[in-house]
Amino acid sequence: MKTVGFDLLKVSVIVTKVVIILYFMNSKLTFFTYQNF
Amino acid sequence: MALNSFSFVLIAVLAVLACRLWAPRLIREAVTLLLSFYFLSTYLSDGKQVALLCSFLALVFAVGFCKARSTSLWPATISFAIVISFWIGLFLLKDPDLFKSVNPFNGNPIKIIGISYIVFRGITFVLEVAPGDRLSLITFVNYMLFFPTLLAGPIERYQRFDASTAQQLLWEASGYQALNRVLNGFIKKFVIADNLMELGIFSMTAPGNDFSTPMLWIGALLMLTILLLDFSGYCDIVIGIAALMGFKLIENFNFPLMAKNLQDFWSRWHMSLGSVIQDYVFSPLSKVVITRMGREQQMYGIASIYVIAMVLVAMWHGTTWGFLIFGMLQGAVLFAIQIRREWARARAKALKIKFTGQQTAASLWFGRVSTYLFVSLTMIWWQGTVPEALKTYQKLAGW
Repeated sequence: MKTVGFDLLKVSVIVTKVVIILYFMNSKLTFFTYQNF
Repeated sequence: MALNSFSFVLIAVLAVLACRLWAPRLIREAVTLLLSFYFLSTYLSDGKQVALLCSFLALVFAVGFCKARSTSLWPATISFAIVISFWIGLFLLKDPDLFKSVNPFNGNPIKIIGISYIVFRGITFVLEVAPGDRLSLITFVNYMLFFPTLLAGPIERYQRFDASTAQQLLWEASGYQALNRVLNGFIKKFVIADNLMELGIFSMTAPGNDFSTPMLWIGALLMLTILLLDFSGYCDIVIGIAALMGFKLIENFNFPLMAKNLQDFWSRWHMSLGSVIQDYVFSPLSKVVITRMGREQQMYGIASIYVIAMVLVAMWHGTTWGFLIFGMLQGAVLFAIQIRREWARARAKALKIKFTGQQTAASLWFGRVSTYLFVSLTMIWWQGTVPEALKTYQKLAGW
């Protein structure tokens, strides 16, 4: 693991970002929708 | 093939593994080239595109080869003529309606993805190769069609790319940083920018939409931020993947929203394009002005070059009247900034005080906000035709 340069925190950061990307990508999120005021 | 598709991720993983696992340069280059060909092939649909692309690559390599083999000094006029012809060819190709009577693409349009970037890489290759250089065809084709940068840059320099190809990187701590950057890029582009795009003025003024004036102002003011997230996110993905493969690509953005004036903004936004224009348009023309114009006229000569450079930058994006107007507006303000700076310098000299160019915090923030507003509002010229852009301005004014 040392040669790869990863530790648990780094792996967690990567996994979290991958989850965020897969979940929200091009999803037209509700909190990004808008009202035409 | 979209960057957020499974196919692209697979290609990127294969390329990273190939570059990391195999030491011989030839194997790494061959695998990268095959993957680049595959990536490009997903955007090609007919033989004319392939023929044109192959002809262009052959022409650029032949010119570079002749230049590298020439023993005497390579005449600058030849390079200049070649670069001008590439520019003209690019304009004619991008807009088949331009100069209809002499345009070979009129009635016979050929669209090639990322052609503006490919032509610019060709220009930098022709200008950077020096007599005596050893050229490799496979490195050259890899440089021209390198799949991470094929769609929208950054516009890498040949010598840097060649140097990156020559070295074999081992997996190290930077691997995490590169992977992290790729993921940040995906979040910026595909999670934030894509979802916000409908809040930008370009979407709001699309046919069928009718938004109120306050909404249009929000769209106009958000557009620059959305485009920054979109383009810099894409660059993060590309630069990160290239870094994982062992290539250190040129950076494209340096916090452009913190620019204190328009000159500063254009030195921080799309820096790889800016550096090409700086090296091959601005600097040579500046030399001409300094050597051939009198002291009094030099200031106006240099300032005029800003207008020429910005018009070229704008027209590179598109050959519409809107882009021309955008470029002229940017150039005119850069001209004014240059004149003002020279005036302040002359005034400091007359008063016998040291010219530092320092700003107060208030003027710094005024500069940042006004630069953001100016770029945001002039960007409206990018969309559609001149009447459409004027209509958008009319709506923003509440008329």
